[in-house]
Amino acid sequence: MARRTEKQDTELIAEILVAGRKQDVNDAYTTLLERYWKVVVALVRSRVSSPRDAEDLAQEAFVRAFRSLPNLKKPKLFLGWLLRIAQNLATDHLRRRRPPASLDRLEEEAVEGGAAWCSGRGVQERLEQQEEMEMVLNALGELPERYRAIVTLRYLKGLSNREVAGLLGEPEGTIRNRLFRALAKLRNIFENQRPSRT
Amino acid sequence: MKRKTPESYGCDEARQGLQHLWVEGYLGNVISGFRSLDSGGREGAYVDMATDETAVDDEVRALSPGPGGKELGAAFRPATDPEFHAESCARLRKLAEHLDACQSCRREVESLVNVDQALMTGFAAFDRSTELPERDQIATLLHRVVDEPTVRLLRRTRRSIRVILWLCFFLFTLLGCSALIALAWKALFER
Repeated sequence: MARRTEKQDTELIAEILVAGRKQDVNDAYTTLLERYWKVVVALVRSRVSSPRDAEDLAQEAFVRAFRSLPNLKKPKLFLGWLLRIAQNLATDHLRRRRPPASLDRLEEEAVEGGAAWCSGRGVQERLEQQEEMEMVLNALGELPERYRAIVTLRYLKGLSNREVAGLLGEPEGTIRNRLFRALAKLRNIFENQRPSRT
Repeated sequence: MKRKTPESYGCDEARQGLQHLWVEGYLGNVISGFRSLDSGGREGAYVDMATDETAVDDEVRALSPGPGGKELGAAFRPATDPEFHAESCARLRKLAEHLDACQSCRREVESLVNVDQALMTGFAAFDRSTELPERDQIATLLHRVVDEPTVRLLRRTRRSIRVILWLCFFLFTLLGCSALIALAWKALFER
């Protein structure tokens, strides 16, 4: 509903391209970034376990996508393109097989995490939320690449099949079929996880 | 293409209908609509739905296009067309009747609703726990986008510089070789 009053992706991209580098188009960039930040982070996070690494990769994906905007032939397919960049970055990140995080970094992350936990609601509630979130993100990571974006857009952004089809540049029937298969797979994954969790 | 509601509504049709509602994103709404009729927590909520004409009508209307409504897909038709609306009501009623009679389909509903619920709560938790980047982070990111760094400029020109250097190398090598050949020629034949 809100999307009708907001500027469409194509309008924002047109603003950026018309203004070029010299003028100030930060608002257009910021709107695009805020609109899709969580979707990109969710997709990367389903493959990269560290939240900080996921955010770094999401930032890099946005930088690369924004820099290459003049090369984008169909601006209405910006999201699909951005998500592909993010998925490729995540794949590269996993391929590089970084050495395990240093103790300093782990300590730093633990301190940051601890501060966030103490400042929020009850620890028990947050633990449960964290567990549910991890379960969903892990299951998402087990899906084939082409299904992940569809499930994320449906459940995180609450988009209909038609809206997802429009954003990813696929026919609505294809989106429906993929979602059907993705949900069936997720159901299997959850059902296999449940006995081990209880 | 109008599709007639099947006269014999079995488990296959019911499961197909449930899957369809799930894929279209209406499973939770429809099932909670069924359950809301069962305020006393007793059995028979589905059949209440099936026999309550107004409830079925409201349910389909709520899921159909129009003010505050959504659009249904192929199996449950939108309310904009009265015939399709009636067909949707009939399908929903048949589904409710079947669910009330069939225990294995009720288990199927439970299973689908649990997965749907798990996905919704998991993504909602992610949404709550993930912050948007702060202003200074956005500013740094945009700085990287807008101001082309020297490294990038160098990377872009590196290829052409490399080509020019190779050309120079080959040219000088060729010149050197031809000078050597000329000297050797002179030494051998011009004595």
